[in-house]
Amino acid sequence: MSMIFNTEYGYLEALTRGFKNGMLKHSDYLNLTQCESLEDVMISIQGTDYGLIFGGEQSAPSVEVIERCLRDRLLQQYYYIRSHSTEPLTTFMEFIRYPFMIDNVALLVAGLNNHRSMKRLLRMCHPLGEFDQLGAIEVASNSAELFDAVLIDTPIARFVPRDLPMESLRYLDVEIVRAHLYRAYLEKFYAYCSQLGGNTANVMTNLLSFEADRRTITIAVNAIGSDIIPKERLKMFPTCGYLPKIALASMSTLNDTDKIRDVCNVFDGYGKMFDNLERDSDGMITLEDRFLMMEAKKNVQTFLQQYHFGIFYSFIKLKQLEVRNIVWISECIAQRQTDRINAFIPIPLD
Amino acid sequence: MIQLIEDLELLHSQVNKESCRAQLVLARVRLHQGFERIPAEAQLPRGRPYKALTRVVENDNYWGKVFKMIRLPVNPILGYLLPVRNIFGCLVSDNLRIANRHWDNCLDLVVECANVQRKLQSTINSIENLRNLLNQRQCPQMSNDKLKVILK
Repeated sequence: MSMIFNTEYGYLEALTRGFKNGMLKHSDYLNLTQCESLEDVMISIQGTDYGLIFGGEQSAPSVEVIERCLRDRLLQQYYYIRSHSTEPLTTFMEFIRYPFMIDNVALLVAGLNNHRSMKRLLRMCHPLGEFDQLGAIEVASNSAELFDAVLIDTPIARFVPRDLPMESLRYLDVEIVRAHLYRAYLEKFYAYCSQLGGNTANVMTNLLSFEADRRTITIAVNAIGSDIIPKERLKMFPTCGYLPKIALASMSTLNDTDKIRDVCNVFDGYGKMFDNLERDSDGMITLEDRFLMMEAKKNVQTFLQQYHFGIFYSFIKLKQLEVRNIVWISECIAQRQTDRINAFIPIPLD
Repeated sequence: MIQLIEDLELLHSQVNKESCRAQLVLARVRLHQGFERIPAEAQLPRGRPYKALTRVVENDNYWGKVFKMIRLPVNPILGYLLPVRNIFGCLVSDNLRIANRHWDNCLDLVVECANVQRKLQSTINSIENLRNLLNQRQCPQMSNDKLKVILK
C-alpha cells in the first residue's frame, strides 16, 4: 500500500509536509504580538515562510490587505497540489473546495435578496470557491432563478436538498439554505472518504464526524430563541457524526444551553466544551473557540500517520486557522487593544 | 457644575470603552467564522422596510428638554423586527449577540451623555444670566449715564 501510495502521491505528501513545517511556530506568534503597527506585522510576516507576499502591494497597510495576501498564498499552495494530483486525490481536493463554493452561493443569495448589484457581489466571493458558471450568475435576477437556471449544472447542484422550496427561496433565511447545503456536502464527503478505505477512511471519518458534531452543537446553540421549529432544526443537523440520532432529535427541541450541555455530557469530549465558559464574561473564549482548539489538535495529529489523503485536508484547515490568527493579531494592533492580543487559537505544532 | 463636567467626562470614557469592546468582539466573530462569513455589505437589508425598536423622544424638565429612550417590544406582524436577526439571519452566534448588547449599552450612554451636556449648558446659561443681573445692580449710575448719552 505504501509503495503504491508513494508512486502516485508521495511527492505531494512530502510537499504538504514541507508546507506544514513552514507554518508559524510559537516564537513567530510572539514576534507578531509584540508588533506596534501593521507595518511591523507585515515585516514580521515577511521574515517567516510566507516570504515577500506584500512586495507588489501598492495600497496602505490595512487588515484587509494582510488578509488578502495571506489568502493568496493559501490559494497558490492549494492549486499547486490540486494541479499535480491524479484521481482519486483530485476529487478529494475538489471536495475541500466545495465549502467555499457553498459560501459564495450563500453570499450571492443574500445579496440578491437584498437587491445588491451582481458585479459587487462577485468581487466579494472567495477565489477558492469560484466555478465556471459564476460569471453566468449575472443573468439571474432572483435567487430562485439562480438555482434553476445556473447552479443546476455546477458541483453544488448535488448538495441542494430535494425538499428545499425553490419558489419561496427569497423568503427563506440564507443561513438555513447554507446549513442544508453544508449538511449534504458533509455527508457526501464522508461517504466518499469511507469508500476510499484504508488510512484515508480512518483519518477522514474521524475528522468529518467531529465537524458534523460541531455543526450540530453550534446550530443548536445559535438557534436558541429563534423561531425555527424543531423539525427544521433537525434537517440542518448532519447525521455522519458521533452523536447518535436520538441525541440529534433531543437537541433539536432544546431551547437552553444547560440542557444542550447535559445531552453533550453523555458523549465523551463534548460536555467539556461548555465548562468554565461563565468565567470569561467578555465573550473572548466561547464555545467556538473550544471547538477550534480541538479541531487544530485533531488536524495536527493527522500528520502522525502516513500514506493517506487526510494530511491535505488538515493542512488546508490549519493554514486557514493560521490566517485567521494573524488577522486577529492585526485587528488588535489596528484597534490599539493589545490586552487581548494573545487570545488567538494555538496550533500545537511545536 | 464641576460635578456635571466630571459626569460628562466619565460618560465619554464609558462610551469609548463600550464601543472598543464591541469592535473587539466583532473581530472575534470574524476569527470564528473565517472565510465563511458573508460581508455585511451584502447582508444589510434593502428590501422590505422595518420599524425601529428604539426611539428617542424629548421631554420637558425644570431646567430644559431631556432626551429619553423608548425601547419597543419585538412584533414581526407590526413590522418591529429584531435588527441583529433581520440582518444576520436566524442563526446568530453568541459573540454577535454580545456585540449587539455592547452597542445597545453605547446608545444608552450616548443619550445620558447628551442629557448631561444639555444640563451643563443650561447651568452655564443660568450662571451667565445671574452674572449679568449682578452687574446691572452693582452699576446703576453707569446705566443712567449710558441712558443720558443715548438721549442726547
